[in-house]
Amino acid sequence: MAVYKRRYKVYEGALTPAWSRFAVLTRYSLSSLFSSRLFTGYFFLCSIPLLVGIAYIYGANSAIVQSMLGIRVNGSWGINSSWFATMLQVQTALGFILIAWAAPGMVTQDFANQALQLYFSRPLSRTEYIVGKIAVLALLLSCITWIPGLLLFGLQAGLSGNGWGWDNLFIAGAIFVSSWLWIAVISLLALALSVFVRWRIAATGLVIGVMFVLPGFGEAIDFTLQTYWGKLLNVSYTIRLVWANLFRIHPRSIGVFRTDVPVWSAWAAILTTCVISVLLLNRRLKAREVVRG
Amino acid sequence: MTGDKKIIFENVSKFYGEVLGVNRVNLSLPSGITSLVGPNGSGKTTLMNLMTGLVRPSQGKVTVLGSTPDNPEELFRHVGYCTQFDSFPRGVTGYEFIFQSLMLHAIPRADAHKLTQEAIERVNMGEAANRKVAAYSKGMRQRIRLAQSLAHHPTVLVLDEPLNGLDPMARSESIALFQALGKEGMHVIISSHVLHEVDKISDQVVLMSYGYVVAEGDIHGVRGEMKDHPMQILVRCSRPNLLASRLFSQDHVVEAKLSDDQKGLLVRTRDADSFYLLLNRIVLEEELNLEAVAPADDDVNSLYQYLIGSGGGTV
Repeated sequence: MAVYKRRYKVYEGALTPAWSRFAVLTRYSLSSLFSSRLFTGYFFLCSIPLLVGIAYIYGANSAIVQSMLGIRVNGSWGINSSWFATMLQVQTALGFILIAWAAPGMVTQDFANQALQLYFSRPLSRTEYIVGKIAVLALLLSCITWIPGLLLFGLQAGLSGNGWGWDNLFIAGAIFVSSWLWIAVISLLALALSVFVRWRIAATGLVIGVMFVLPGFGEAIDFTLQTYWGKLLNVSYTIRLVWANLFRIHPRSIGVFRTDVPVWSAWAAILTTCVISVLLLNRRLKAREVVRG
Repeated sequence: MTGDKKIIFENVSKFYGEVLGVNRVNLSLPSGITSLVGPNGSGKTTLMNLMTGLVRPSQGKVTVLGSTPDNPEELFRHVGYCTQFDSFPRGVTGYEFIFQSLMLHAIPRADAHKLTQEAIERVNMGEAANRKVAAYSKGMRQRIRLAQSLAHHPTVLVLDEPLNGLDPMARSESIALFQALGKEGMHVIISSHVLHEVDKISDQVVLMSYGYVVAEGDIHGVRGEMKDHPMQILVRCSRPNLLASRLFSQDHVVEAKLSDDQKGLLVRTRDADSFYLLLNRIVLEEELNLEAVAPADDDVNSLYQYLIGSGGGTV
């Protein structure tokens, strides 16, 4: 019998902390996304509402600008919670296109290349994989939604003075909570649908379909059954209903004209969407494929 | 060898719903090169996925050098897996591919750069490392995947069809690398369909069919246990017809066939050990000039044919 000399040594150097490992996927996905000039261009295009908002707030608070424009408006040019809610609506609309573009590509490539085995044969769990991917979307969407939103709030509070910021502090909270609510729902939904169909174009179509076709289906239910619960299938509607509640405004000011559905049910619908997305991810995100004949 | 130096399957079964992956597998794999051999769908990849923690057993327990898949931090320090799929992110270079894998293994950047370089040199990919993987040949892809699986210095290297698509030169280099790793004390688990190469490199084989382990152990040991398939031994000597006549008187000799050039004799025997003793005696008594004695079906290919290819047999 051969006697082998055991020379092989396991790596015994330092290890990075477990909590930071998902960031490898995030960094890599971000660099992949920004390697596309089209994507980078669109991402910067998403900062237009911020620039417009800055100009507007500055104009509203500057007597010089107002005199140059030849207008004189007393008050704050309507910069209130409705203004910030509308701004958030514009930002999330731009963010939605970004998500429909970015999310499917990030995961369908891994399925197409059967790369999940490669990821999961590392000390990386399925949860960390999802967190790594969602972190990409959250980071991108944060740059489009709550970060500029809070910047605008801070600018308005600074320029307006007179305790405006303190009096309207709930707006900052509403911007933050509303943005994160939207980011969580849309990111989970986009990833779950992408994992479900595993085909980039179809996944993009499905993400758009859920946002635009499902509401039509809900309306059909309402019409046929003479009810109003079908509106809960409209993700955009339920989110805006919750936003209106958080911004303490009438839903009409952000385009919600029918308010038959109570706010608690909108919260429940959003939560259900998130739970279904997580279940779908849990079911479909596996390291191995089983083909049944 | 204690349990913490072996890969152990204890009554392991894996069912994917109604589909059988593997059933009641009991294995204890020591260091060296172990080959998993079996037709498509026999459960080789499931066995590999079980030992790398990618799937959990429906019943039973898997331990890899004392670690269980429930402790991935510990397990994946020991295990490197090279899957059978081309799973390269778009636009990545060979170097980046290995480097990113090491980062996922929780290795800090400075060490990851060092280990990446080392792994690339180990598979002779130094010149192509900074080219995009998309521009690699199939053999180069195979080698870079091999590099990523051993870059973090695992003690268990699991290789799913590692010789597929390699040209003869790359095959020979890969085999030499596997052998070197095996001799250094690593557990190298290989699944392959290239039986004559498996035969050349394996310290032990695991033959699988329809999710069951049909045979396991070192090739000669397994062959010796197969009593219903008499062993074939080729003897080249002077006066083979005389040898044949002496052999026919023995109960364990089933057949003796003269070769076309009349210088060789193919013997089929149920008891190889008795045959070799008898052969020694005949050679001395009859003063035969012996040129060669070699088993003709003491290899993986024959085991495969006897146990799996012809519908199975008993060991």
